This record gives sequence, structure tokens and C-alpha cells, in this order.
Amino acid sequence: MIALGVRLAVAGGRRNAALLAVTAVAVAAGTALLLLALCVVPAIQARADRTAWLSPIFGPAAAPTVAADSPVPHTTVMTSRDHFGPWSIDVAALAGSGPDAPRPPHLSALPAPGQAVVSPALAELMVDEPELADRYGEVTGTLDPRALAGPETLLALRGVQPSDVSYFETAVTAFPTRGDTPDLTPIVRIVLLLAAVALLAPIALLIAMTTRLTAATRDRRLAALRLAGATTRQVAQLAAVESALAGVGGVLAGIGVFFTVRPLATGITIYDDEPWFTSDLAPSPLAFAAVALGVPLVVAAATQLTLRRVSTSPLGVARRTTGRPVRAWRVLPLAVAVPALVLAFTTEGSRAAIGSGNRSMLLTFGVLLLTLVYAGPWITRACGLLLARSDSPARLLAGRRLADHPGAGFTAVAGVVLAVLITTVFAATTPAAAESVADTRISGQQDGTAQVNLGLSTSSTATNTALLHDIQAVPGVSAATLVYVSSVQDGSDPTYAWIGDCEQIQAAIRVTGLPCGQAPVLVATNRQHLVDGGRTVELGNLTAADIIAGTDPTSTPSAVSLIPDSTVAMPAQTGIDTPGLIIDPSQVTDVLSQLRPTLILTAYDTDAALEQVRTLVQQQVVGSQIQNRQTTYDGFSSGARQLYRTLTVAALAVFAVAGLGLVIALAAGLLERRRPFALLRASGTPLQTLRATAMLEVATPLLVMATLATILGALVGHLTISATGTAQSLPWADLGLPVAGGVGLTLALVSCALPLVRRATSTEETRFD
Amino acid sequence: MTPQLPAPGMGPGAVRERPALLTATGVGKSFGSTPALRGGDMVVAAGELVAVMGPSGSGKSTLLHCLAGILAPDSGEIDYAGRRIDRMDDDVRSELRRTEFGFVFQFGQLVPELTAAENVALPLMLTGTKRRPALAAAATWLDRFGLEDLGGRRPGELSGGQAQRVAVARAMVTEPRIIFADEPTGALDTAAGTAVLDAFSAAVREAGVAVVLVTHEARVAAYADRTVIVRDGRIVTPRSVQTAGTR
Repeated sequence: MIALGVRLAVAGGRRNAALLAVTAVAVAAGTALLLLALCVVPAIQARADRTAWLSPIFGPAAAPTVAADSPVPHTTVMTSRDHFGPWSIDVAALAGSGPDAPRPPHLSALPAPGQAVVSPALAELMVDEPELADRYGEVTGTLDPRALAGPETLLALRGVQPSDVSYFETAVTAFPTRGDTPDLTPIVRIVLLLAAVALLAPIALLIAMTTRLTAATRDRRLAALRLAGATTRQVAQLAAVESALAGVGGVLAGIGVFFTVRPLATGITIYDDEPWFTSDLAPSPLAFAAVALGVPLVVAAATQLTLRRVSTSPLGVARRTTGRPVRAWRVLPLAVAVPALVLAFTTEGSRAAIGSGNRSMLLTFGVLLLTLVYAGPWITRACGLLLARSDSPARLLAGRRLADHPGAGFTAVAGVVLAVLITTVFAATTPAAAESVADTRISGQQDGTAQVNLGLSTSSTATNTALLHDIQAVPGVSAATLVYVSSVQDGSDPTYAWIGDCEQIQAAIRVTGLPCGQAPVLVATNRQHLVDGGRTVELGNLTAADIIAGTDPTSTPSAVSLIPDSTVAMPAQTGIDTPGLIIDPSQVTDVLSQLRPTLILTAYDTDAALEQVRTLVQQQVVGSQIQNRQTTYDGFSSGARQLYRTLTVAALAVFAVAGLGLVIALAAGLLERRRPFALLRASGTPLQTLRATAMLEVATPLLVMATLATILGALVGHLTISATGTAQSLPWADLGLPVAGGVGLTLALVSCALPLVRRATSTEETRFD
Repeated sequence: MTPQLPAPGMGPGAVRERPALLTATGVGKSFGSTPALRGGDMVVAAGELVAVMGPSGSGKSTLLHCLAGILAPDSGEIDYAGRRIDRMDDDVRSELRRTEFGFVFQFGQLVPELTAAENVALPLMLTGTKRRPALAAAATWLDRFGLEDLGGRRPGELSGGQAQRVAVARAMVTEPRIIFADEPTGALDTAAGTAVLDAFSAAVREAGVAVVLVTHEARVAAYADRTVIVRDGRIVTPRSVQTAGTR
């Protein structure tokens, strides 16, 4: 039977061989995509393992720690982030207790104080940018890639004195080699899970749908065998052999494709900006085996399902009639779920029972997804019937096809429904995140200004003052001033406060209109309540770095009298890095004698000046960080942007996979009807009409379901937001643009298959002998 | 069933008195290196029913496809009502087929998802007729072929004979000047085939439509005014129905 099956498949004519080859190619594409999708989790884990040493006191294999003054050999690690132009550079300052101090993995020796070891990518950048060359000390070597996040990681590992990192009171006695993914908060994990499901489901559907390509010719052949006396079982075996040929061949080709495209796929950054090492993109052996065995099984199972007609009756293919109707009750769960959810979220008691946040979002998402998928075939059929009422022959043909085969019409776009729902839910629930992606103004900083934060070091006031003078001497720096940083606590709401010279601050932050000189304390207009009634408030949130070494923080006087006569309102700054209070030092002399100034405000005119300032700061104060508008924005919105990028990549991948599925659906539909279509064309039906028919058959359910999914996604977002008690309008542009882009991509893919219409309806198909 | 006699004035001798509607001169067509049609002349007059006979693979379907403008001949000329079909581009030939010609094929020409009435209405809709009047016209033609109760059925729910009558109604609905029929009863049993041919010949004669009927059955050719024989890609010689039937 196997030999006969192989012979029938191979000797089934050129067309059958071609269709088998196309099926194998589709299976190969699905397999390659599946393998790439299965790389995501191992790749994230591999990266976390390699970079675990940079956060040695975190993660599942956190290193044993000791006090900084312990006699046990130890190393203190201090990480910070520096920038050069558009690039972010991670800096790890290491201070070993002695020659036996533990070393990060794959590092032969700790760099001595004043020396640095850098990643290969940073070494290359240093060659191109001399300003960067000695920023972290004398470069004595490059880091092993096995200790890096990715091939383009910019990382400097600098050796420092223990006193430079004494701010940190703990040190490690070993470096971990197994990392956690601490940045993957529960919501990120859920989003990644949803993205994985959204990607894997369409791939499985795509693989299953490929069997439709050969179904028409195979069914005719097998029906003939049934007429000749073959049993149902024998027919099933023959079909299994044929599908196995395409399935196994496709899987083998898909594995080949996977290894071929893997180097290109390393550039797809799904979680952060770091490309991957090629070796990162490796599914686990178990996943590999599951794909190698599972894909042919899916192909075979899908084939067996499509065989039902032949198996039931030898005449099953030739005598096809109206399919089993899709009942209207399929739409009932959706029709019930939407008002029920709205009611539940708007009724106080129910809302409390449902809860808010991620739980409610997942609940509504899950319910609406399931009910929408269940209702999909009926909606598709309804669209088909409406379309068929048109005067246009193309719409009549497409509408009747959809009404007759709503399941097939919907299956092809089911992946898009998932992609659209996920995209819109995210955009609807995190409008601020989506908006912030394109807006750097959230930092409140002006262009051409930078803030040097010295609060993570224990540098003395003298050192910081000296650094200020050096910065002021940099050509292109127009103003710089050193200020004390603190905050005023009012209930649970802290107000950021700067203590310094108002005029100098105004120049250094490039803000005009501050009422300097009118009063010793300026209060932002949106913080006026702090001074209502002449209250006395306290400076708070002082860290060890803010207080001069040797001072007892508990005895530090921190009361500041903010009386109405000594305060004046200033325009509120809306950013996160601008203060609510500017206090003249004369008002807090008692406090200042025990504090350290830890913030240098700088105004610069050129990028070169900014880089010189960054170099000065890195060289003089270990662990300091400089923020300007761009870097503040990068840090603030990185989480949202990472999510956004992950979802965008996943959604685009799903759209692309769905597009391939639609191409297959289009091809299969054409192949099934190539004779009537060819005869219609021979009878004078314009090719354009047939192309429009084919396009409408896939575009109609795509557009309708995508629109419905967008609306439901917005509903999930709205309900989730309202459950938190906040009133936010839905960002319709953020909802619509990705959906429109994805649908456009899908339709573009489908339109590439339209030339098939001419080929499938050639004159050859009109011959009967 | 005895074939209907040609209508008065429509016999083999009479047709030559009518103006030629379609004229083929030296038509040749090859597929790759295989010649399917090696040249020959043929004339179809308005209102006559011409049978094209020949063994399987003789080139009769290729001749029909060339005459109907489905295929462009490699050589020779085809003139329809003063217009050279062989020189038309594909779009113009498509329009000609859609508006001037009708087609009946052996089987499989009905769109499986459309009802019988929609299948018949489709050619009208392709020429811009609105759905409602197109369906009304389809109902009229279905009535004429005794299919008045089957307009709502799908092709899969019709018998072979019924489906072919629907196909004939579809060919007639645009009121073409020529109908090209390629083995229209080839997939039917004798009784069903006869029913189709009876309805077909009656309708075309009533409407005055010319018919080019490809068949390999003498019984079918007997319905024609005259017969053209194709053998090895050559149009051999016109013969009478009776002569062809005895071969």
C-alpha cells in the first residue's frame, strides 16, 4: 500500500507533483517559522545566563554576598549606563579585594584600577570615536562574547578602587552563571505568552491548510480508487502516504530554511535593542524533536479530515451539494458576552468580584477571543450572503463561496483576529506607553541641557565642585551649576526639590521666566498646596550619598520653613526631571552643612561638548550618570517600548503568517474551481472579474473580522481602564494604525498570489479529453 | 427519438444562400511542436447549426476554440461579422465572447456555489445588467427549458441533464448570435442527451442563433443542418448529416 501510495503521488502527473512541491514548500515555511518562534524563550534564557554576572546579587543563582569589609576574597560590582551619541554603553565598575577576588565568567583577571576591558563592539566604536577611547581608563583587552548579551553589546568593564564603590555595602564572593529574567514582569510574561500563542496558532493553521492545495486532485484520484473497490482504510492509508511525502519533505526543507535564515533573524530584536548571537536562536532538543515529528502528524491529520467526503461515499467529491449550514447560535455567546462584560464592569459589586488590572484584562480578553473565534464562521457566512446580493458578478461569486464555505473562509483569517486583538488591547490599555514612544518631551528637560547625577557615588563636595569647574571650562558649555537634591514629603506624594542658586539654575536648565529674586523659595504652581497656611515641611528622602560621610542621618536637621512670605509660584514644569521646589541655599544653611551637592545642571551648545562632559564625569566620579532629554526618555519608556516592540514584531509575524495562509486559501479555492472558472473565462468573463472574486473571498472576512477584533480590543481596553477607576479616552489612532498596517501587509501578500488566477484558468482547463 | 428536420429553408443547400457570419480561412494551431490544427476553411452562416465531427484528438475542440476566439490561431484568418478575431487582443476577444457568443461545455461549467438561476443570470450581470432583472431573465429561460422549479438549486443538486439544460439557458440568456457547444451531451446518457438536444435545437432555431456543435456522436450530429469533419487536424470536407451518421 505504501509503494502504491508513493507511486500514485509521484506519478500523478506534473500538476500533482507541482502541487505536492508547493505543499512541501508551505510546510517548510511553516516549520521554519515554528522553529524561529520556539527559539524565543531559550534565547532570552541564554542571554540572561550570559549576563547574570552583571547583576550578581539577583536571580535564581544569586552569588553569596559579604560585607564590603569582609576578609573573604570578594568583588564589588557597580553598574551604570553611559551614552555616546545615540549609543547606550553599560559600564560595570569592579573593585576586587585582592588577587584572589572572584572574577566574572570568561575573564582571566580583573582590570586594575585605571584600566578597562571592553566588548568587541565598543572596541570598534572607540576606534571610530577618539573621544571615547580613554573614557573608562586604559583599554587592556576585549571581553569574551560568552559574557555579553549580544554581538553588538556596548559594555565597558573598568577596574576601580574599593573606595570608589564604597557606596555599595555588599560584595560578592562568586559570580553566577545562571540568570533569571528579572525584567520579565508577570504582565510581560503574559504578553509574551499571548504573543507566542498568537504566533503558533496561525502557523499550525498554515501547515494544516497546505493540505488543501492537493485536496482536489487527490480526492478525485482516491474517489476513483473507491469506485474501483478500495476500502476506506486503504484510501486513508494512501492519503497518509501522500501527505507524509509532502510533510516529511517539507519539515526537512523547513529545518534547512531555519538554519539558512537564522543569521538574518538575529537582527529581530524582540525584547530590547540587542541583536542575538546566531547560537542563541536554537530551540531546545525537545522542541526540535516535537516539530520534526509533530508537523508531519499535523499534515497527516489535516489530510485525514479532508478525506471525509471520499471516505463517506465514492461519489462524495463529484456530488458535492450545499455544505452543512453554520447555525446562528454560534454568534450567541459573543452576543451575550459583550453586554454581560459591560454590565459586569459597570456594576460596582461585579467589578469588585472581577477585580482590576491584569486579571480583568485577561478575563475579558479570553472571553471575547473565544466567543469571537466561535462566531467567526457565522459572521463570515453572513458577510458572504450580504456580498452575494450585490449587482457585481465578482461579489456574487465571492459571496456565495464565503456563504458556502464559511469555515474555510474564517480559518484563513483566524490568526489575524488574534493579532489584531492583542495589538489593540495593548494599545488601548497602555495609551500613555504607546504615546510616549514617539515623544521625548516627557522628561521635561530642554534640548541642550544635561543633568549629571553624582548621587550613586561617595565623592566629596570638593571632588564634585572640582568636576563642576572642569565642566564649566569645556568649550561649548554655556552654563553649569551644582545643586543639592532632596524632596519634600507631603503625605505619600513627594515633591522633587533643588537647593541652589536660582539664576544659575535657570541658565543651566535653559528655562526662562523663573521669578528668581522675588523670593528665596519658588514653588511650582501645581505644588502650591505645600505652602498653604504657612506650613513647615521637611526635606526628606535623603540617601547616604546626600549626606556627608560621618554625619548621622538621623540627627541631620531637615526642617525647612516654607512660609508664604518667602515663597513665590513658578510655572509648573510637566516633566519627570524638573523640580517642584527651588530653594535658595540661604534658607537651609543648617542642613547644607551636612549635605553633599549631587547634581550638576549643565547647558551645552554642541554634541562634542556633551561628550566631553560625559568623559570628564566618567573619569572623575565612578558610577555617575548623565541624563539629557533623549536618555531620560529612553529610560522612562524603555519598558513600554520593549512591550510595544515585542507585540509589534509578534503581530507583524502573525499578519505575515496569516497572509501566507490566505495565499494558500486563495490558491486552494482556485484549484478547487479551476474548471468552472476556466470555462467562465472561456465564455468571456474578464480575468479582472475572476481576480476580484479571488481577492474578495479573502479580503472580506479579513477586513470584517479585523474591524470586529479592533472594536472588541478597544472594548477590552476600555473596560480594563474603567475597572481601575481612571477615565481615559481611547487612542483610536494607536488602535487603528497597527491594524491597518498589518491588514495592508496581509493584503499585499495576498495580491502577490493573484497571477495564479490567470494560470489556473488557462485554456488547458477547458479540455475534457 | 427522431432528429428534428431542419426548418424550411435551412437545409444543406439553403445555408449557402445566407450571409456568412463566421469565416475561417487556413486556420492552423500548434501546441508546442504538436500541430493540432493544420489549416482548413469553414463558414458558418447566420442561423445554421453546424456539427463538427471527428475522432478523439482530431482537433475539433481546438477548431472550436479558435473559431470562438478562446485560442488565437497561429496561422490563417477568422472573420466574424467583418471583424478579424485572430487579430484582436485578449480583452477584446473576451468582450466578444461575453456579448456575441454563447458557450455550452461538456460538464463542470456551472459555478458550484451559485444557484441554477444565478448561474444563468451571471452572463447578464457580467455585461452590466442589475441583479434583479438578470434573475428575472434567468427565470424566463429556465421556464423555457422546463426548469422553473429548480432555479434555487445548486448544480450539485441537479441531474446531469438538468445541469446541461441550465448551461444551455445560460448560453442563451445574453441572446448571442453564435453558440459554441463542445460535446454538450458527452457526459449524459441517451435519454438525458436527447432531452437536452431537443430543447437546445428548438431554442436556437426559434431565436435564429447559429450553432457550432462539436461532437463525436452521429446521433447528435443528426440535429445539425450540415456536418464538418475534422481528421488529423484538417477540415476534410463538409458532408450531409446522413452521410456523417453512417460512417
